[in-house]
Amino acid sequence: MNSLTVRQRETRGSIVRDCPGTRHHVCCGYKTIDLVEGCPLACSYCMLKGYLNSPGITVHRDTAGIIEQIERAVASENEHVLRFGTGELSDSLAVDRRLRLNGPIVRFFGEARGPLLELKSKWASIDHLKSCLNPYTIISFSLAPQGLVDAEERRTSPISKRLKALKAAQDLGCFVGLHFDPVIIYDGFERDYRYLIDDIARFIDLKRVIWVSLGLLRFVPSLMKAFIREGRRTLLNGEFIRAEDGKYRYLKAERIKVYRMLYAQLLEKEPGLFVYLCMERADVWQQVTGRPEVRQSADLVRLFDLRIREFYGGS
Amino acid sequence: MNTIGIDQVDVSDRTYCISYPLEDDLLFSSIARFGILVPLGVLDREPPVIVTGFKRIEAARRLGIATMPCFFLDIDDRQALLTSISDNLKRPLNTIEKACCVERMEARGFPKEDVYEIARLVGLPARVETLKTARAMNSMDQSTRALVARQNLPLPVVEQLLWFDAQELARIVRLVDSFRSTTSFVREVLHLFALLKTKTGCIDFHELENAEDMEALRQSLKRATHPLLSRLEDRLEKIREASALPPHIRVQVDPVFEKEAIDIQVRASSVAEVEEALKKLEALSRQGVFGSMFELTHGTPERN
Repeated sequence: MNSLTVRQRETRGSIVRDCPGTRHHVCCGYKTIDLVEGCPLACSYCMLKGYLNSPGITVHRDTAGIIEQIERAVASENEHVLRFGTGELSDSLAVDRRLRLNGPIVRFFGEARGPLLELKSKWASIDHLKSCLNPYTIISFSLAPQGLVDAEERRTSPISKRLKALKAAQDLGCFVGLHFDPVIIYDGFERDYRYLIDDIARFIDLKRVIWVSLGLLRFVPSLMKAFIREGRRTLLNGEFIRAEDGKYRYLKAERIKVYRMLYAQLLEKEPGLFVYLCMERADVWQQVTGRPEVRQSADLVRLFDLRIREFYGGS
Repeated sequence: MNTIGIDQVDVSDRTYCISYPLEDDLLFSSIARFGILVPLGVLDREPPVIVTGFKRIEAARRLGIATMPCFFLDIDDRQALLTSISDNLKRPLNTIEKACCVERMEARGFPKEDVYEIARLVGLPARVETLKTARAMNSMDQSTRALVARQNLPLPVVEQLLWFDAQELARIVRLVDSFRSTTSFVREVLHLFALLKTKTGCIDFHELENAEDMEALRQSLKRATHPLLSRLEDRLEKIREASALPPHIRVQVDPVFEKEAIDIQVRASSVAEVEEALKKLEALSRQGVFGSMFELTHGTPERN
């Protein structure tokens, strides 16, 4: 990562935005803080390849201005607890030890004691944030079987390190999030994910996991070409169709089958876990969770509010 | 203006030839009727080198015309290439010809900005990948070049062709070329070939080569790349067959089984026809036809 080109950009306009979501799919109502654009981890399936058209990394260093934008977003919301994340256009932690961008934002959330900040990553490096971590910062890791990490996420931290970092975050008083995203279908994936979930349950306290997301691999059409050109057999192992939002997704029947499997395995470990589907159709939600109440994004936002109340109290 | 005999020029010298293919029926008919009206552009060398008019000279040869009007040009190699490109820009170029323009310019060391400018002029994306593809196209075999030109396949589709090795490509071209088809159909079939190769590591041509038409080829490929989707399609087809829907009732199901809703359309021109259609729909519903369809669109076919 030392050879990475890092550009600083003056912050113009808003970098605190609503997660763009995707048509015909239930979105969790996340707010994104695009502190960093671009990622050095270069995962083979990364959607950023389809969205960002310049190599290298661009950072916004106007911390005061960014915090002002977050404050404005919080002030304009009086119904829901806002959840912010810095991992939409980058990995939240991959360059943070070097660039130290998260610290002031983490402190701000700790002082605000209301909205939540989620640092979502595949890079197990939180030591530099130890002094400022607080319960209003959720440390989250994307998790996948180690074989998949070796093949498709080659520059990321091994799963054992991610689990250790999650444990460390819990020990520091943080709640943590788990993201099984993207879940990839390949020969033997069922067994690998079962072992992974076993490992997670052994390693961390599942009762202090605030949320778990499940999202099967989906990608924009330009990535299909890239996968074929690069001969990504594992990524293309399953059957993809063009969904209503134009993205390639696994066939719905397959998605439901896999979600059900993972959902059941996770709840078997801890029945109280809050498991949500990232960018899925309402009918898939219903088939997987049996919860008819999630018909649109607002319904999922309400479930998040309930979950946050469970963890932080309040009415 | 001068006159030159065909036997005075080396017609196999294609140094400045952008046109592909050289056979042009319309031009042939015109020359047969009116003769060569537009003179060739020829470099004043010994032997003279054709710069513009390759299609005309080809037609003339076929017609047995011995001499042609020409202009002798006193220009250098780069100017000759630009003259040829400029002459061809008067008509729409196919992808082989477009690629040829940028490949020849790049090979002669024109500045990248100039090459990209021509790329833009002919409608190719001005980027490094275009140059790479254009170079690769230059070494494509004749049958592949002919397919690209005949189907006027756009650059992204040509890029797909380049994913295959020479042997695979030859068999694919032979297969695709043996059927009449639209560009979008060819594009889809090539995508399925590429997907199949990525998924399985190789393409088993034996079954594919038995396909009777392009649709059959597409179906065979799809069965190999999308077996589950094909099974769902088969089940839907069986349900449709069993339900024996009358022609004035149409039931549309999302072809990729993503949308859970199905569309039911009734065509009626009287109240009696509406009532008859409703009765039929009710009967079909009682038979479980729609329930079976919903199992497919809900993504839960295993419950059947």
